[in-house]
Amino acid sequence: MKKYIYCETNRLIKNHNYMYSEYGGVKFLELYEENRNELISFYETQINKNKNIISKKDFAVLMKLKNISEIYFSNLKNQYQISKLKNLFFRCEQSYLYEDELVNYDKYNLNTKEKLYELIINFSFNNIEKEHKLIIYKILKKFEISKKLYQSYKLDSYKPKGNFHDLKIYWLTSIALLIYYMRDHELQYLNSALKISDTLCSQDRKNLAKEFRGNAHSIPLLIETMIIEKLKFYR
Amino acid sequence: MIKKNIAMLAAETSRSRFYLQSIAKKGLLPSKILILENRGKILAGQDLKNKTLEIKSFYIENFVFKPNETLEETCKKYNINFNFINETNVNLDNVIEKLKNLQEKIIIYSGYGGTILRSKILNIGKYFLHIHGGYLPDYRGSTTNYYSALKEKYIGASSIIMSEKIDTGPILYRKKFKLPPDLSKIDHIYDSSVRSNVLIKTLQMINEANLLEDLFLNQKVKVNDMNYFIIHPVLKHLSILNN
Repeated sequence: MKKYIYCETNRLIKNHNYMYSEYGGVKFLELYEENRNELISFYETQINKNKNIISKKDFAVLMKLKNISEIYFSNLKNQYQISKLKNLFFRCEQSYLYEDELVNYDKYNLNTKEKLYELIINFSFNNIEKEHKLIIYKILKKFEISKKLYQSYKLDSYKPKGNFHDLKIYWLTSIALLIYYMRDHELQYLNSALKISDTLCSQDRKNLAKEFRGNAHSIPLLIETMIIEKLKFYR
Repeated sequence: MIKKNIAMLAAETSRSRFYLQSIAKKGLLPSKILILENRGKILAGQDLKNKTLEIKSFYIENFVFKPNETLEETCKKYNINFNFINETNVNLDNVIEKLKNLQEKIIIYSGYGGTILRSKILNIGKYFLHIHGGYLPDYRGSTTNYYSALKEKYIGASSIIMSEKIDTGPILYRKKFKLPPDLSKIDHIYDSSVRSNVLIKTLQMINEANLLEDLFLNQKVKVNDMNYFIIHPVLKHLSILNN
């Protein structure tokens, strides 16, 4: 295996079912890390080109991620990664913030993006909300079956509605799954977070740079690789 | 000994070959086998690259698995009645019709990976015996042995009667196993091997029971528990390398 194949083509057009994936030894994990680090480096090059502006809700999501990751990584020995993450959060905190657009809610459908904002922003490390976990699991399951996340789902049947091209929904879901994993340690969350991350990383760089200003995407990518690093016991 | 009340529906996969060779070796032959024939591209569960002639099973005593021996060859070797069905999708009406016409009440199911049996097949009045690769009800879903190896350092298998909700049917027998020497061979060797171990034990139990229902274990399935989905390659590698 010479490259990380799971992001080599746009996974929203040609998905991967991950069945019987090939074993590539330690080298494979290095290729995975290279893949994520390469995208983090790409975002670095974009920061000077684009003003670092993000919406207030996105900022609240990233600050929640900061809060949860500080607890999760409190015993981590790799100071290089910790300082890299701190630096990304510090720069994020210097961002210009703008107001989000008003959203029209529909009582028959779940607005995926708005529900994810709500679940993440109200997430608590100490208080497990069963109803919230159920919604997260339903979204996770929808992704696992179709490898897509739709703008909305019917509340009664969870049938998808709208399109599946909104990259912000994938970003929010991956963050939601990472914070749920960091609290509950259930591998199902991390598993789907990795697949959603593959989907995002497989997108055209121009679209990614347009959608995710500053460190908005670099932060969850770095946290994901740090979680994987923490799970390595073979060295 | 041929078991008159048990048939087998099998795809030409490494798992089906493992099942058939191991139960044949233990004298637990089904009376009829329907083989789902695949004339197209390689499907999930097929391991046509394996050139190894013989593999000594880590989990079944005195048994050597032959990866390249086809189902047809094993059937002929043990004089088992078999038929081919020129379909890979078990949910098709012509496949269901063939299953309905079987005299056997219990059907060992070993189809192609990723296929879900629909209600129209599950409701034909037969028991579909499935061996799940994982310890139920703790590990429901797909590729769960990688997850249990990563989390708890064991792999498992469970025999169940299939129901419409995945991996929630009545459990007949389940067992935890110590990890194999090389987890990278789990997909086509060790997973099949532990499943076969459980299949053998289940068939022996069915032999001794008056009613199949007598074997159903009392189990409490938590409805809200999350299923496991196909493991991401990164977690799969951690599961293999950490052990």
